Amino acid sequence: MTASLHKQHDLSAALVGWGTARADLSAIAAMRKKLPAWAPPDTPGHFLKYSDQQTVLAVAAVDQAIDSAGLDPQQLQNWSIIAAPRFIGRIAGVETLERFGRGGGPAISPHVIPQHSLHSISGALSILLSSRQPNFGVGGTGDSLAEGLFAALTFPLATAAGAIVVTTAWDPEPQLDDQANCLNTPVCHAVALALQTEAQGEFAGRLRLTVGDDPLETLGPLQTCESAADLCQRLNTLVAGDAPEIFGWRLGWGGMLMLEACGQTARLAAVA
Amino acid sequence: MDRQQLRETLLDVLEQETWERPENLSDDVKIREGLKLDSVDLLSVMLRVETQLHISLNSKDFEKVVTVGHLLDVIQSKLPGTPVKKVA
Repeated sequence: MTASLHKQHDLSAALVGWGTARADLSAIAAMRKKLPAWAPPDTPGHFLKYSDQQTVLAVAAVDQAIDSAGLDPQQLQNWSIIAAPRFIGRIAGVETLERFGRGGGPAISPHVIPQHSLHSISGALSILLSSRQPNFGVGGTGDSLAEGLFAALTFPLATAAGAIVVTTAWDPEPQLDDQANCLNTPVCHAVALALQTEAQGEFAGRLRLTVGDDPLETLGPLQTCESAADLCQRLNTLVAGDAPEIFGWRLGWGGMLMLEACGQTARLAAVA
Repeated sequence: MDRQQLRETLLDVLEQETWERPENLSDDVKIREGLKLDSVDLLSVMLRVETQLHISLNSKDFEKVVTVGHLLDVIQSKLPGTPVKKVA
């Protein structure tokens, strides 16, 4: 781990594990029927039936993170959950508008609001993990990745044993016609990061928020990632045992987020 | 439509809603614990029933619905020519 990522005055957390998932739209239907092994035994089999596609991929990425980091799902009950989706509900939104035009209010599914909104991913994960800590969604638009990482360092870690940060995005975005038919082959990506401030032992990396002096002076040029899709692809190029990569995001008020990540042996949860 | 036909209709709707056709849909089965339906699931089921049976259901009708029997009572009370029966 790079020594310059341990400055005392910065906020930081150990990246104890990460997971990724990627699937195209046609493959997600089958993923809905497969609940993770750590889901509570009384979870209904249709739990993910009406979930947003980004939620389905988020669950797969968290499953991968748990597996790769060797985390005990029972202990995650005391972790907070932050979701940072980009443009969640886009497909459901078009479908809903189309159904409303055809059949009015009664034609709209009551699942739309709870399943396709900003907090839907974190809510679903909270139920599946039986979490008793805060869960919420942040961002929602193009900057959601950096906003999610920033939230992870500044809010929930103070009260929770750790935080699961999940960021999701389509790339390419779905192109839909007026009848909600998809005209292209959109791919949904998700990255789950397991963060702990007091972690012991070997880490998969570190997330740090720095203010003031410019870390570029000591670290050199940083890679940045536009979205979860970009980060998902970059993480999956990392090789276990190689030197870690450092990704950076400049924040509008002068701060900088840096994510140092090492390769893991476990890779994509789903590739279509 | 008699109660058994109504039960079959409800089975069909539940299968559409949850991917699973319940093996037991007797009157004493509880909606939440037995069928694993939450409040949004139940609302979605009732919207399907409304469309399928061409009836109109009110949210107040469901305030005391706990079991399949209660649910069938509510639906049956809305069918044309059926005397209104108060949910227990």
